[in-house]
Amino acid sequence: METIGRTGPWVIDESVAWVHHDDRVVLVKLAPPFTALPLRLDATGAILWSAIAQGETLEELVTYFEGDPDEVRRGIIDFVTNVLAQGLIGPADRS
Amino acid sequence: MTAELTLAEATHLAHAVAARAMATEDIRVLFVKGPVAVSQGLRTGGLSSDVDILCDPARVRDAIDLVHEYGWTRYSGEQTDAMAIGMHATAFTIPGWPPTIDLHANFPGMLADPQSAFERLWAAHRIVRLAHHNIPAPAPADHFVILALHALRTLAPGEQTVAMAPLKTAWASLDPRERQDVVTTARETGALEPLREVLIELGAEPGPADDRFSTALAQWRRSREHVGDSAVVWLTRWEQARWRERPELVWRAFWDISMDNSRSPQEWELATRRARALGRLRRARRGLAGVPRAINGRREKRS
Repeated sequence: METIGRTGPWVIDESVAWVHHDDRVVLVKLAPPFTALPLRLDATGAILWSAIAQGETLEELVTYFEGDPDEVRRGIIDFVTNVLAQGLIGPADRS
Repeated sequence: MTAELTLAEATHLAHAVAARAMATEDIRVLFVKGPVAVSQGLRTGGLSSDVDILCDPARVRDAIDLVHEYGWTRYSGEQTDAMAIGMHATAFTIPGWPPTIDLHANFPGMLADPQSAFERLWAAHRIVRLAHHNIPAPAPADHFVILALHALRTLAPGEQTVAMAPLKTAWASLDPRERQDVVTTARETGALEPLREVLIELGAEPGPADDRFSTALAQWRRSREHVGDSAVVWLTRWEQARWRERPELVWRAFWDISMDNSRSPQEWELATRRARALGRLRRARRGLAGVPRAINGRREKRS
Protein backbone atom coordinates (compact mmCIF):
# COMPACT_ATOMS: atom_id res chain seq x y z
CA MET A 1 0.00 0.00 0.00
CA GLU A 2 2.84 2.34 0.92
CA THR A 3 4.51 1.68 -2.44
CA ILE A 4 1.31 2.34 -4.35
CA GLY A 5 0.84 5.56 -2.37
CA ARG A 6 4.29 6.78 -3.41
CA THR A 7 4.42 5.70 -7.04
CA GLY A 8 0.90 6.22 -8.24
CA PRO A 9 -1.36 6.30 -10.00
CA TRP A 10 -3.61 8.24 -7.68
CA VAL A 11 -7.15 9.55 -7.79
CA ILE A 12 -8.53 12.85 -6.62
CA ASP A 13 -10.60 12.14 -3.53
CA GLU A 14 -14.29 12.24 -4.35
CA SER A 15 -14.83 14.82 -1.60
CA VAL A 16 -12.65 17.39 -3.36
CA ALA A 17 -14.14 20.01 -5.67
CA TRP A 18 -11.66 21.74 -7.92
CA VAL A 19 -11.33 24.07 -10.86
CA HIS A 20 -8.38 24.56 -13.17
CA HIS A 21 -8.11 28.02 -14.68
CA ASP A 22 -5.09 29.21 -16.59
CA ASP A 23 -2.04 28.08 -14.63
CA ARG A 24 -3.62 27.41 -11.29
CA VAL A 25 -5.90 24.98 -9.55
CA VAL A 26 -8.24 26.01 -6.77
CA LEU A 27 -9.73 23.26 -4.66
CA VAL A 28 -11.79 22.71 -1.56
CA LYS A 29 -12.61 19.64 0.48
CA LEU A 30 -16.33 19.13 0.85
CA ALA A 31 -16.95 18.21 4.44
CA PRO A 32 -19.13 19.57 7.26
CA PRO A 33 -19.37 22.36 8.25
CA PHE A 34 -18.58 23.34 4.67
CA THR A 35 -16.86 26.55 5.71
CA ALA A 36 -13.29 25.61 4.66
CA LEU A 37 -11.61 28.19 2.50
CA PRO A 38 -10.26 26.94 -0.84
CA LEU A 39 -6.60 26.11 -1.38
CA ARG A 40 -4.66 27.30 -4.38
CA LEU A 41 -2.01 25.39 -6.29
CA ASP A 42 0.11 27.53 -8.55
CA ALA A 43 2.25 26.60 -11.54
CA THR A 44 4.04 23.34 -10.64
CA GLY A 45 1.37 22.26 -8.16
CA ALA A 46 -1.35 22.88 -10.74
CA ILE A 47 0.52 20.85 -13.37
CA LEU A 48 0.99 17.98 -10.94
CA TRP A 49 -2.62 18.08 -9.79
CA SER A 50 -3.99 17.98 -13.33
CA ALA A 51 -1.64 15.16 -14.28
CA ILE A 52 -2.62 13.19 -11.18
CA ALA A 53 -6.26 13.67 -12.14
CA GLN A 54 -5.42 12.09 -15.50
CA GLY A 55 -4.03 9.02 -13.76
CA GLU A 56 -0.33 9.61 -14.33
CA THR A 57 2.19 7.63 -12.26
CA LEU A 58 5.21 9.03 -10.45
CA GLU A 59 7.55 8.12 -13.30
CA GLU A 60 5.21 9.70 -15.84
CA LEU A 61 5.03 12.86 -13.75
CA VAL A 62 8.82 13.05 -13.68
CA THR A 63 8.83 13.41 -17.47
CA TYR A 64 6.73 16.59 -17.20
CA PHE A 65 9.71 18.54 -15.89
CA GLU A 66 13.22 19.34 -16.98
CA GLY A 67 16.21 18.91 -14.66
CA ASP A 68 17.82 16.19 -12.65
CA PRO A 69 15.24 13.34 -12.55
CA ASP A 70 16.14 12.38 -8.98
CA GLU A 71 15.65 15.92 -7.78
CA VAL A 72 12.40 16.24 -9.74
CA ARG A 73 11.23 12.90 -8.32
CA ARG A 74 11.95 14.06 -4.76
CA GLY A 75 9.96 17.25 -5.33
CA ILE A 76 7.02 15.31 -6.70
CA ILE A 77 7.11 12.84 -3.81
CA ASP A 78 7.04 15.77 -1.38
CA PHE A 79 3.99 17.18 -3.14
CA VAL A 80 2.21 13.83 -3.31
CA THR A 81 2.99 13.06 0.33
CA ASN A 82 1.52 16.41 1.32
CA VAL A 83 -1.75 16.05 -0.60
CA LEU A 84 -2.08 12.41 0.43
CA ALA A 85 -1.72 13.43 4.07
CA GLN A 86 -4.49 15.99 3.63
CA GLY A 87 -6.78 13.37 2.13
CA LEU A 88 -7.00 15.27 -1.13
CA ILE A 89 -5.86 12.30 -3.21
CA GLY A 90 -5.56 8.57 -2.60
CA PRO A 91 -4.05 5.53 -4.31
CA ALA A 92 -5.97 4.66 -7.46
CA ASP A 93 -6.48 1.05 -6.45
CA ARG A 94 -7.20 1.58 -2.76
CA SER A 95 -10.62 -0.02 -3.16
CA MET B 1 -2.00 28.24 0.88
CA THR B 2 -5.47 29.74 1.29
CA ALA B 3 -6.49 31.13 -2.05
CA GLU B 4 -7.35 34.55 -3.31
CA LEU B 5 -10.33 33.49 -5.32
CA THR B 6 -11.61 34.87 -8.55
CA LEU B 7 -15.37 35.20 -8.54
CA ALA B 8 -15.70 32.56 -11.27
CA GLU B 9 -13.61 30.03 -9.35
CA ALA B 10 -15.46 30.73 -6.12
CA THR B 11 -18.87 30.46 -7.76
CA HIS B 12 -18.07 27.10 -9.37
CA LEU B 13 -16.69 25.70 -6.12
CA ALA B 14 -19.59 27.10 -4.10
CA HIS B 15 -22.04 25.15 -6.26
CA ALA B 16 -20.25 21.95 -5.27
CA VAL B 17 -20.09 22.98 -1.61
CA ALA B 18 -23.81 23.79 -1.48
CA ALA B 19 -24.78 20.62 -3.36
CA ARG B 20 -22.83 18.44 -0.93
CA ALA B 21 -24.13 20.36 2.09
CA MET B 22 -27.74 19.79 1.04
CA ALA B 23 -27.04 16.15 0.22
CA THR B 24 -25.91 15.49 3.80
CA GLU B 25 -29.55 15.84 4.87
CA ASP B 26 -31.09 14.47 1.65
CA ILE B 27 -32.60 17.84 0.85
CA ARG B 28 -33.62 17.97 -2.80
CA VAL B 29 -32.34 21.08 -4.53
CA LEU B 30 -31.98 22.29 -8.10
CA PHE B 31 -29.24 24.71 -9.08
CA VAL B 32 -30.38 27.36 -11.52
CA LYS B 33 -29.01 30.23 -13.61
CA GLY B 34 -25.31 31.17 -13.63
CA PRO B 35 -22.73 28.55 -14.59
CA VAL B 36 -25.36 25.80 -14.63
CA ALA B 37 -27.20 27.61 -17.42
CA VAL B 38 -23.88 28.15 -19.21
CA SER B 39 -23.03 24.45 -19.01
CA GLN B 40 -26.43 23.60 -20.51
CA GLY B 41 -25.82 26.01 -23.39
CA LEU B 42 -28.61 28.33 -22.28
CA ARG B 43 -26.31 31.23 -21.55
CA THR B 44 -23.05 32.42 -23.00
CA GLY B 45 -20.37 33.03 -20.39
CA GLY B 46 -20.94 36.03 -18.21
CA LEU B 47 -19.85 36.46 -14.64
CA SER B 48 -22.08 35.15 -11.92
CA SER B 49 -21.71 36.40 -8.38
CA ASP B 50 -24.10 34.05 -6.68
CA VAL B 51 -25.32 30.51 -6.42
CA ASP B 52 -29.05 30.14 -6.99
CA ILE B 53 -30.74 27.14 -5.47
CA LEU B 54 -34.36 26.17 -5.82
CA CYS B 55 -35.12 24.06 -2.75
CA ASP B 56 -37.80 21.48 -2.15
CA PRO B 57 -40.42 23.79 -0.56
CA ALA B 58 -41.18 21.18 2.09
CA ARG B 59 -37.54 21.25 3.25
CA VAL B 60 -36.67 24.95 3.00
CA ARG B 61 -36.79 25.45 6.76
CA ASP B 62 -34.56 22.38 7.21
CA ALA B 63 -32.14 23.77 4.62
CA ILE B 64 -32.00 27.15 6.34
CA ASP B 65 -31.48 25.53 9.75
CA LEU B 66 -28.79 23.28 8.31
CA VAL B 67 -26.65 26.00 6.75
CA HIS B 68 -27.15 28.16 9.82
CA GLU B 69 -25.84 25.28 11.92
CA TYR B 70 -22.84 25.05 9.58
CA GLY B 71 -22.02 28.67 10.30
CA TRP B 72 -23.05 30.24 7.03
CA THR B 73 -24.32 33.75 7.66
CA ARG B 74 -27.49 35.38 6.46
CA TYR B 75 -26.63 38.15 4.01
CA SER B 76 -29.40 40.42 5.32
CA GLY B 77 -28.44 39.94 8.95
CA GLU B 78 -28.94 37.10 11.39
CA GLN B 79 -32.30 38.39 12.62
CA THR B 80 -33.87 38.60 9.18
CA ASP B 81 -36.30 35.81 8.44
CA ALA B 82 -36.73 36.22 4.69
CA MET B 83 -39.50 33.66 4.48
CA ALA B 84 -41.55 35.27 7.21
CA ILE B 85 -41.56 38.53 5.28
CA GLY B 86 -42.50 36.93 2.00
CA MET B 87 -39.18 37.11 0.19
CA HIS B 88 -38.78 34.26 -2.25
CA ALA B 89 -35.14 33.61 -1.34
CA THR B 90 -32.85 33.72 1.66
CA ALA B 91 -29.29 34.76 0.88
CA PHE B 92 -26.35 33.27 2.75
CA THR B 93 -22.63 33.75 2.61
CA ILE B 94 -19.97 31.27 3.59
CA PRO B 95 -17.54 33.30 5.73
CA GLY B 96 -14.62 34.39 3.58
CA TRP B 97 -16.21 33.38 0.28
CA PRO B 98 -17.25 36.04 -2.23
CA PRO B 99 -20.47 34.61 -3.72
CA THR B 100 -23.83 34.71 -1.98
CA ILE B 101 -25.89 31.53 -1.92
CA ASP B 102 -29.54 32.25 -2.58
CA LEU B 103 -31.90 29.63 -1.28
CA HIS B 104 -35.20 29.97 -3.14
CA ALA B 105 -38.42 28.63 -1.64
CA ASN B 106 -40.20 29.22 -4.93
CA PHE B 107 -39.58 31.03 -8.17
CA PRO B 108 -41.43 34.29 -8.94
CA GLY B 109 -43.68 33.87 -11.96
CA MET B 110 -44.27 30.18 -11.37
CA LEU B 111 -47.78 30.76 -10.12
CA ALA B 112 -48.68 27.15 -9.37
CA ASP B 113 -48.36 25.75 -5.88
CA PRO B 114 -44.60 25.82 -5.15
CA GLN B 115 -44.51 22.16 -4.12
CA SER B 116 -46.21 20.90 -7.28
CA ALA B 117 -44.01 23.19 -9.43
CA PHE B 118 -40.91 21.83 -7.71
CA GLU B 119 -42.04 18.21 -8.13
CA ARG B 120 -42.61 18.88 -11.83
CA LEU B 121 -39.08 20.27 -12.22
CA TRP B 122 -37.52 17.56 -10.07
CA ALA B 123 -39.15 14.77 -12.08
CA ALA B 124 -37.18 15.80 -15.17
CA HIS B 125 -34.02 17.05 -13.50
CA ARG B 126 -30.54 16.46 -14.90
CA ILE B 127 -27.02 16.40 -13.57
CA VAL B 128 -24.42 18.89 -14.74
CA ARG B 129 -20.76 18.81 -13.78
CA LEU B 130 -19.22 21.82 -12.05
CA ALA B 131 -15.92 21.75 -10.19
CA HIS B 132 -15.78 18.01 -11.00
CA HIS B 133 -18.95 17.36 -9.02
CA ASN B 134 -22.51 16.41 -9.81
CA ILE B 135 -24.87 19.35 -9.59
CA PRO B 136 -28.62 18.72 -9.89
CA ALA B 137 -30.28 21.10 -12.33
CA PRO B 138 -33.58 21.46 -14.14
CA ALA B 139 -33.85 19.93 -17.61
CA PRO B 140 -32.83 22.54 -20.20
CA ALA B 141 -36.43 23.24 -21.28
CA ASP B 142 -37.50 23.70 -17.66
CA HIS B 143 -34.46 25.84 -17.02
CA PHE B 144 -35.46 28.04 -19.95
CA VAL B 145 -38.77 28.78 -18.19
CA ILE B 146 -36.89 29.86 -15.06
CA LEU B 147 -34.45 32.02 -17.02
CA ALA B 148 -37.28 33.69 -18.93
CA LEU B 149 -39.21 34.46 -15.74
CA HIS B 150 -36.05 35.79 -14.13
CA ALA B 151 -35.39 38.03 -17.13
CA LEU B 152 -38.91 39.43 -17.09
CA ARG B 153 -39.53 39.97 -13.41
CA THR B 154 -37.48 43.14 -13.15
CA LEU B 155 -38.56 44.60 -16.48
CA ALA B 156 -41.61 46.77 -17.01
CA PRO B 157 -43.98 45.33 -19.63
CA GLY B 158 -42.80 47.78 -22.32
CA GLU B 159 -39.15 46.93 -21.69
CA GLN B 160 -39.21 43.21 -22.32
CA THR B 161 -37.44 43.53 -25.64
CA VAL B 162 -34.31 44.00 -23.49
CA ALA B 163 -34.71 40.41 -22.33
CA MET B 164 -35.28 38.97 -25.77
CA ALA B 165 -31.69 38.80 -27.04
CA PRO B 166 -30.42 36.40 -24.34
CA LEU B 167 -33.69 34.49 -24.43
CA LYS B 168 -33.38 34.02 -28.19
CA THR B 169 -29.89 32.63 -27.64
CA ALA B 170 -31.24 30.21 -25.04
CA TRP B 171 -34.18 29.28 -27.26
CA ALA B 172 -31.82 28.57 -30.15
CA SER B 173 -29.97 26.05 -28.00
CA LEU B 174 -33.13 23.94 -27.56
CA ASP B 175 -34.25 21.33 -30.06
CA PRO B 176 -37.87 21.27 -31.34
CA ARG B 177 -38.92 18.70 -28.74
CA GLU B 178 -37.43 20.77 -25.92
CA ARG B 179 -39.19 23.90 -27.24
CA GLN B 180 -42.45 22.04 -26.96
CA ASP B 181 -41.45 21.01 -23.44
CA VAL B 182 -40.99 24.69 -22.56
CA VAL B 183 -44.68 25.34 -23.26
CA THR B 184 -45.71 22.21 -21.34
CA THR B 185 -43.58 23.14 -18.32
CA ALA B 186 -44.79 26.74 -18.41
CA ARG B 187 -48.38 25.51 -18.32
CA GLU B 188 -47.77 22.94 -15.58
CA THR B 189 -45.92 25.35 -13.32
CA GLY B 190 -48.29 28.27 -13.81
CA ALA B 191 -45.79 30.27 -15.85
CA LEU B 192 -47.70 30.22 -19.10
CA GLU B 193 -49.47 33.56 -18.78
CA PRO B 194 -46.39 35.41 -17.42
CA LEU B 195 -44.46 34.07 -20.42
CA ARG B 196 -47.19 34.13 -23.08
CA GLU B 197 -45.90 37.16 -25.00
CA VAL B 198 -42.32 35.95 -24.90
CA LEU B 199 -43.29 32.50 -26.13
CA ILE B 200 -45.27 33.97 -29.02
CA GLU B 201 -42.36 36.22 -29.93
CA LEU B 202 -40.10 33.19 -30.01
CA GLY B 203 -42.47 31.43 -32.39
CA ALA B 204 -44.01 29.00 -29.90
CA GLU B 205 -47.72 28.30 -29.70
CA PRO B 206 -48.73 28.72 -26.04
CA GLY B 207 -52.27 27.44 -26.54
CA PRO B 208 -55.41 28.43 -24.64
CA ALA B 209 -55.26 30.88 -21.76
CA ASP B 210 -54.58 29.46 -18.32
CA ASP B 211 -56.94 31.23 -15.93
CA ARG B 212 -56.21 29.14 -12.84
CA PHE B 213 -54.02 31.69 -11.07
CA SER B 214 -55.76 35.03 -11.59
CA THR B 215 -54.84 36.58 -8.23
CA ALA B 216 -51.19 35.58 -8.45
CA LEU B 217 -51.09 36.67 -12.09
CA ALA B 218 -52.46 40.09 -11.14
CA GLN B 219 -49.74 40.40 -8.47
CA TRP B 220 -47.07 39.37 -11.00
CA ARG B 221 -48.31 41.97 -13.50
CA ARG B 222 -48.58 44.67 -10.86
CA SER B 223 -45.04 44.09 -9.65
CA ARG B 224 -43.79 44.33 -13.24
CA GLU B 225 -45.76 47.52 -13.83
CA HIS B 226 -44.20 49.01 -10.71
CA VAL B 227 -40.68 47.66 -11.04
CA GLY B 228 -38.39 49.27 -8.47
CA ASP B 229 -41.30 50.55 -6.38
CA SER B 230 -40.62 49.06 -2.98
CA ALA B 231 -44.06 50.11 -1.70
CA VAL B 232 -45.66 47.75 -4.22
CA VAL B 233 -43.24 44.98 -3.27
CA TRP B 234 -44.13 45.32 0.41
CA LEU B 235 -47.83 45.59 -0.29
CA THR B 236 -47.68 42.35 -2.25
CA ARG B 237 -45.85 40.71 0.64
CA TRP B 238 -48.57 42.02 2.96
CA GLU B 239 -51.28 40.47 0.80
CA GLN B 240 -49.49 37.13 0.69
CA ALA B 241 -48.58 37.03 4.40
CA ARG B 242 -50.53 35.27 7.11
CA TRP B 243 -51.89 37.53 9.87
CA ARG B 244 -49.35 36.33 12.41
CA GLU B 245 -46.52 37.32 10.03
CA ARG B 246 -47.82 40.82 9.43
CA PRO B 247 -46.45 42.62 12.53
CA GLU B 248 -42.93 41.55 11.58
CA LEU B 249 -43.62 42.55 8.01
CA VAL B 250 -44.57 46.08 9.05
CA TRP B 251 -41.53 46.36 11.27
CA ARG B 252 -39.21 45.19 8.50
CA ALA B 253 -40.84 47.43 5.92
CA PHE B 254 -40.69 50.65 7.90
CA TRP B 255 -37.94 50.22 10.42
CA ASP B 256 -35.42 47.47 9.65
CA ILE B 257 -32.53 49.42 8.20
CA SER B 258 -30.66 46.27 7.12
CA MET B 259 -33.37 45.82 4.48
CA ASP B 260 -32.64 49.24 2.98
CA ASN B 261 -30.98 48.84 -0.37
CA SER B 262 -29.14 52.14 -0.26
CA ARG B 263 -26.35 50.26 1.53
CA SER B 264 -25.52 46.60 1.96
CA PRO B 265 -26.54 44.98 5.28
CA GLN B 266 -22.86 44.81 6.19
CA GLU B 267 -22.42 48.52 5.53
CA TRP B 268 -25.47 49.30 7.67
CA GLU B 269 -23.97 47.17 10.42
CA LEU B 270 -20.92 49.43 10.43
CA ALA B 271 -22.83 52.71 10.03
CA THR B 272 -22.94 55.25 12.85
CA ARG B 273 -25.99 55.40 15.08
CA ARG B 274 -26.87 58.76 13.52
CA ALA B 275 -26.62 57.41 9.96
CA ARG B 276 -28.82 54.48 10.90
CA ALA B 277 -31.38 56.76 12.55
CA LEU B 278 -31.50 59.04 9.51
CA GLY B 279 -31.75 56.01 7.23
CA ARG B 280 -34.68 54.69 9.26
CA LEU B 281 -36.41 58.03 9.10
CA ARG B 282 -36.00 58.22 5.33
CA ARG B 283 -37.20 54.64 5.01
CA ALA B 284 -40.28 55.23 7.15
CA ARG B 285 -41.14 58.44 5.26
CA ARG B 286 -40.66 56.78 1.90
CA GLY B 287 -42.72 53.79 2.97
CA LEU B 288 -45.61 55.87 4.28
CA ALA B 289 -45.58 58.03 1.14
CA GLY B 290 -45.62 54.93 -1.05
CA VAL B 291 -48.59 53.21 0.60
CA PRO B 292 -51.34 55.27 -1.12
CA ARG B 293 -49.59 54.86 -4.46
CA ALA B 294 -49.37 51.11 -4.06
CA ILE B 295 -52.99 50.80 -2.95
CA ASN B 296 -54.16 52.97 -5.84
CA GLY B 297 -52.16 50.81 -8.24
CA ARG B 298 -53.94 47.74 -6.90
CA ARG B 299 -57.37 49.40 -7.22
CA GLU B 300 -56.69 50.48 -10.79
CA LYS B 301 -55.67 46.94 -11.63
CA ARG B 302 -58.89 45.54 -10.15
CA SER B 303 -61.11 48.00 -12.01
